[in-house]
Amino acid sequence: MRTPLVVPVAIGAFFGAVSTRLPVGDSDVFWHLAIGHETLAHGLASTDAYSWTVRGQPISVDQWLGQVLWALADDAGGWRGIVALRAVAIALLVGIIVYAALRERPARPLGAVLAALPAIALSRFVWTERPELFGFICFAVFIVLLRAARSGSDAALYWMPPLIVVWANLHGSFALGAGLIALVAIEGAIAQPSRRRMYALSAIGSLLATLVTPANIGAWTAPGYHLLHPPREIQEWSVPDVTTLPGAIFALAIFATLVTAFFSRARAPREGVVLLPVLFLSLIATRQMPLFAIATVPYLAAYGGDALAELAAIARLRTPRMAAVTRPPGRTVDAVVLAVAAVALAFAAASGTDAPSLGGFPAAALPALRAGPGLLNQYDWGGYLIANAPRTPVFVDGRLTPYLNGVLADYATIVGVHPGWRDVIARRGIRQILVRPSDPVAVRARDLGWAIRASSDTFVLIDVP
Amino acid sequence: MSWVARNAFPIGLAAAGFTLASGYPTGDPDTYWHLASGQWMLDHHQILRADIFSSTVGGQAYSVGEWLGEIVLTLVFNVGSWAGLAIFRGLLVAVAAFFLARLSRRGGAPLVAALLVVVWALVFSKTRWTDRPAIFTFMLFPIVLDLLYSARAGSRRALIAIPPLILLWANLHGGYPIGIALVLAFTVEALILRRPNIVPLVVTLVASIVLSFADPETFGVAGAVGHAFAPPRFISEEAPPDVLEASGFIFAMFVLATLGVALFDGAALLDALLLIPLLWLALSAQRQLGFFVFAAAPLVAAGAARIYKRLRPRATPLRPLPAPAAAILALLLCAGALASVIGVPTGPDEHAYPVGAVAALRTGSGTLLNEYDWGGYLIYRVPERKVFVDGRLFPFYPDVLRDYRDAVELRPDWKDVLAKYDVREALLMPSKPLAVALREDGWTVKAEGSNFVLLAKP
Repeated sequence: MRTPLVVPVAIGAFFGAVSTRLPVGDSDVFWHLAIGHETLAHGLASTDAYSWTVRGQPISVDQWLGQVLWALADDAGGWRGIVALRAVAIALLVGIIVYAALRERPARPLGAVLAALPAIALSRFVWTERPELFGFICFAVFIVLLRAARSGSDAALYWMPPLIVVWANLHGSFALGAGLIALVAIEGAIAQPSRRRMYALSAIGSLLATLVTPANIGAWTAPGYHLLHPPREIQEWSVPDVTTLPGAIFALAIFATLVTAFFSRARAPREGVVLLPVLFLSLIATRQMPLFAIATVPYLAAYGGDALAELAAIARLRTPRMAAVTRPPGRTVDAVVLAVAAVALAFAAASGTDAPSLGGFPAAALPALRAGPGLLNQYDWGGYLIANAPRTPVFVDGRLTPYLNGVLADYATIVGVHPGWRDVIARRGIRQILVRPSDPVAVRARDLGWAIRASSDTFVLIDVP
Repeated sequence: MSWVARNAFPIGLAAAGFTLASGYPTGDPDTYWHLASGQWMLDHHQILRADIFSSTVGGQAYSVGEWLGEIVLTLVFNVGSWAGLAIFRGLLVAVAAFFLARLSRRGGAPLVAALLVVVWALVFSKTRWTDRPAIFTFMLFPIVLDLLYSARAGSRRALIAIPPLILLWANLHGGYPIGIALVLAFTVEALILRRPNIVPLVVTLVASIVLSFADPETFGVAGAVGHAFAPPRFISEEAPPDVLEASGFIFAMFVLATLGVALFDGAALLDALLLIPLLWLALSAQRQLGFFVFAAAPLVAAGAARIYKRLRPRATPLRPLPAPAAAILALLLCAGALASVIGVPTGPDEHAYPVGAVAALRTGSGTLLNEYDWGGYLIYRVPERKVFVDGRLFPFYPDVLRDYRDAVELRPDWKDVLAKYDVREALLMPSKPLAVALREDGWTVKAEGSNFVLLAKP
């Protein structure tokens, strides 16, 4: 049975429209926009131009296409344009997740939606205006292609390398796709000897595709580093915590997968080739939790109903029969729903959030910032300052990797008031400190009577004597 | 000899477990306050129900629900000192290893598969080989689980042993609710599958719950549940598991193996009833990882063997050792374990503690603000000084702990906290912001080492 688009498009458009009511202004969006605009205006910049600590040093360009897309949205409609692009991206992500489920059980849309719910819920935590969101879309598409390929579609295997090319230029999460296609190709070559060549071509093509970026082999640097050395002090890189809401949803996805594997009468060992490595990756850091939830959606859709029926039989309960679609809607209906969804999204974006939520940023400190080098700023505010205080270069910002050569260590020493903090201030030539009032350095600076140039509940700007 | 031959695998692993576990010195900060508490109870012939160690909650009622565990550890220490504790630890780990080995073959796993799984589980569990009442939970968990499997296989005697074990467990350590949860899981399975042993299981469950209240300072199931849902994250063992660290990685491998085996072969209702709640518990805090790993051992060992056989159907199965050879090997390992007693450490490893500050602390006076992790050490080594906080956690939760963190992490009210408690001395790690600030403010350095600084108010 053909997989109708009505349900995925409707649900995707619904969540996309809902997202236009959410705040905009992720702490990283500002530097992504700045780099995107810079790329549009002057081409790719391979050295830093926003900080005074690593100015002129090489920086990663592994998200350039994602940054350009956000910058184009900004050019087209300002914050409303960004909200519109985010809504479209979320609609795509949710729609593809639901499609992946529905593809397994086209006649059981309710079951498919239920299977997709944990992934949709968990994806909420990555509905940010960052290239990362595009990475999740690519992953969701990748999962659909992978399953199509394994069920016999050579076209799906052909589409892998082009997808990886796009993905590798959008976001660093492409490495997951490249790794998985290699694993799947090995398993596929063993399970389906007649398709060995196809699998090999797809895997080799995908690996080569990762090099078709401005960074070439360097595109692998950030994913490799983050995999083995996640910066735990950054909240999204912290260990998954099941006592939080996203952690609990992640746990639910794992438990649903386990229950399905335990009780489904149909065995699916091949699923392990994708599910096991993705589960390990998701267990590493909070920001990676949605990956497993997305990867397991088709499996839950395909086998979850069977597992529940078996469980009900074990418990001698009557299994409620889910409504089945006997005649799927035709392509005309799909087209109509797509058009309606597009209109709905456009209307929602036009009437949705049109300004960033800046409550957490030190807006009132901007007039008191000194021009030129010498500011030590809160890590989370670096991007905001890049966009809003261009005459004052930052000490650190959310790009992270450029600052691993000692800058972050010095930052931690000063902000945490660790031994030698004043020596580091002197050595670095820091003239102003912009941090939260509860940061130890802010507390200590007040104790020492350092001049407070500006302050609020959110920030304190201190002049170093 | 025939019993030894039949149980050569668990005996051999127990011997290996003993050798490994008794071979290193104690170093856990909580050991000290458990020993101090146990000694007080032995000296006063009563249970310690109010704080006597701290300046912040002195005299306040509290319970850590581990009175018997503390007394047992203290008795062992009084008889054999630090070496005695190490040997006792080795014995408890040996018992746990014995039952874990039995568990690993419950699913019908061949010896090699079971051995591989148990070795990984034991390596993983090394972080739990501490000289604290928690080690009784480490030992009792596989015992109760193995008894329940025996009961499931038809043994009534196994069920009879469980309520008394729960009674003992409830008085030894606050982890006993996990034992009751095991009985509950087996009972629910019997109920759903209408097994013939449902009535004895229900009786066992009820008796276990009732007997768990026969604890003069019960921590309570509600308390345990509350702790599981809101673990104090600033304590490292209460943090969620990090799969890039050694123990977290092995745990992750067990999770993946469980899912992998289930994808190949499915699993039973009992596996779901046991493993899913235990997986949640494990994901909630590092200290709970072992329960999942131990409970998953039978499924993983049996499943791994089946998968191997399916992937390599022509592979020649390893022939088991002849019974006499197995028995001799087990006895040799036991002899090695006995011989290893010679090398048991006779003193604790205190390199992480402020040993160099002890003399100066004894001459000091007034309220001492100390590192959380050093509270137990100070209670034991410098009993004349009351601590600010220590690893008992509950007496200090939440007010004193909040004040402690506000001060040590140099939050805006740090000076108010020092004034509130009239802190005269501070024993801190040199890297702590408070240590840096107090030095800058002219507090006198009374003693200093690479890992500590003792500062006195001028």
